[in-house]
Amino acid sequence: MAWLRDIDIWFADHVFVFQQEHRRYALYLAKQPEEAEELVQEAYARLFARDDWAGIANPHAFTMRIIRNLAIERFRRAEVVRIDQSAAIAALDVADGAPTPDIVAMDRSELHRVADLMQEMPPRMREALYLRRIEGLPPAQVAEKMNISVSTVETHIKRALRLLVTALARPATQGMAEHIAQWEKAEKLETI
Amino acid sequence: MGEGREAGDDLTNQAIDWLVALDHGNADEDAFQAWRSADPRRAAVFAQVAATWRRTGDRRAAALLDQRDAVTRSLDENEEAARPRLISRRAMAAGVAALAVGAGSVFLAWPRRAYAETAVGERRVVALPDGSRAMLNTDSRVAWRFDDGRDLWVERGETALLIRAGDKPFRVHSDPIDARLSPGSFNLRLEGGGGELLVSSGRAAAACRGALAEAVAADHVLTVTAGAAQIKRVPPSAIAIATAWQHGEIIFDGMRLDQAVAEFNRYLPDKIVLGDRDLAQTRLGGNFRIAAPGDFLAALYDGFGIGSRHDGDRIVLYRASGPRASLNRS
Repeated sequence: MAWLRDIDIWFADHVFVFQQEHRRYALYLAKQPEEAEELVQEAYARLFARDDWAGIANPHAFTMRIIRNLAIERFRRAEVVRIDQSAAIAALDVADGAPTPDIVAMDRSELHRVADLMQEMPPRMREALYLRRIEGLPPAQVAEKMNISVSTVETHIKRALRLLVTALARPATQGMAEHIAQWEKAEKLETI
Repeated sequence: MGEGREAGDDLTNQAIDWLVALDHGNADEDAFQAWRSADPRRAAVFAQVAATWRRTGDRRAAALLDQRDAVTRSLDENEEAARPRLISRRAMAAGVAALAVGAGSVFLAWPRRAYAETAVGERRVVALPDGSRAMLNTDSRVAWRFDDGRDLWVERGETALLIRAGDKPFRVHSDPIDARLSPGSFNLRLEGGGGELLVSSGRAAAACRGALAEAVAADHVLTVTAGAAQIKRVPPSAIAIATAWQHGEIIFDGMRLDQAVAEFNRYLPDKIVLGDRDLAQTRLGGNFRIAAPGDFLAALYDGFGIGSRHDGDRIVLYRASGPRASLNRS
């Protein structure tokens, strides 16, 4: 799998596992979801522009610092001064001296989210993903088992991955998000 | 950075297409390497997609799924029994809040109105007998009667209403505004004899002090001041500001400091006052937690060099010679 490089695995295990924190922090600084997402994406891109990524002692803290620096750059260019942001940026203290202990590649809550999402997928999509990823069957055998073409398997799996990527980027229910969800849930219950 | 959000989503889709094609042996690897190495953005997005891909193959996730399949199967067998129980438990939880405030008056012959109120700085959700909800902002009071209709009175303050469908029309009453509400989400705020009814979803047929009813559609607000009524469309940003209190936030969007302080004071037992009159002109933006006025005061100091001190039961703002946050000027 030449297409999966060392930096991709390093990124998955040491940076992306903290994606929720990166997004939360970016949102805290930028206040607007679009701008926050832009900060996170730009920070990740900066990591991939480096040659010395392997030497970064604490990739998570390092990423947080890039996000902050990008926020400050934007903040300086902004026309309206948002005083809460200035306070937030001034108050930031990410300890990036100490390396993170070797964390498990995926924490438990994340694991449950992945399992939840896979479970809620449309059955055919789920079956294709399950056979390919969990049972590890080659695409041709998945196609045979499901009695569909290989290109249909590919389509199912692309859709499944799209669903997972989108859903996992959303904030986990916490604090305000949870509160809003409660109202929304109440709203949904009513329309049933 | 110029790329917008669409570009981001589009990039994600491209990365997904590449990855799955590569996994299925259907991709031109050289073309892929050229695509990826053209822009660190692409490399980063591809790595994010690959990270999610790796998770789907995680053995622990697989174990979790197998476990759940077993649970689901046994649940399915008991579905008939399990479903109603779940619902009634939820309904019970919803009913408890209403009972807690309503029980006292429910059994009285007269008045048959139940009510709930909040103190300054308090916020609470009341589950109404029909499953609708009212969320009371600071220093507010509502009453309701649901025996031969669905009537709710906003007597003071501000209330968000989440109305569910029902056989009988839902009517909300207040001094400035009376309205019939469809299922949807509303916010009614009373202030100085006037009022404001915001329709986030659904619609309202509103009458102002007995005048003819007017229709207020979603994303519109009806404002009544000194007897004059006006309906206008509100942008999503204004809706976000008007409803920020529902999740404990207060948003200032280029507001003058005297107005911002008046807004914050609704939530504070000890009121903030301006020590220097000229401070009023300062304009500010920002989001704050209602529960953390200290952050607001600290931000005023950091951002504008405006200090604060307690004076009896007041908090006085004054022009301090403190440092302006270096970030404000560049």
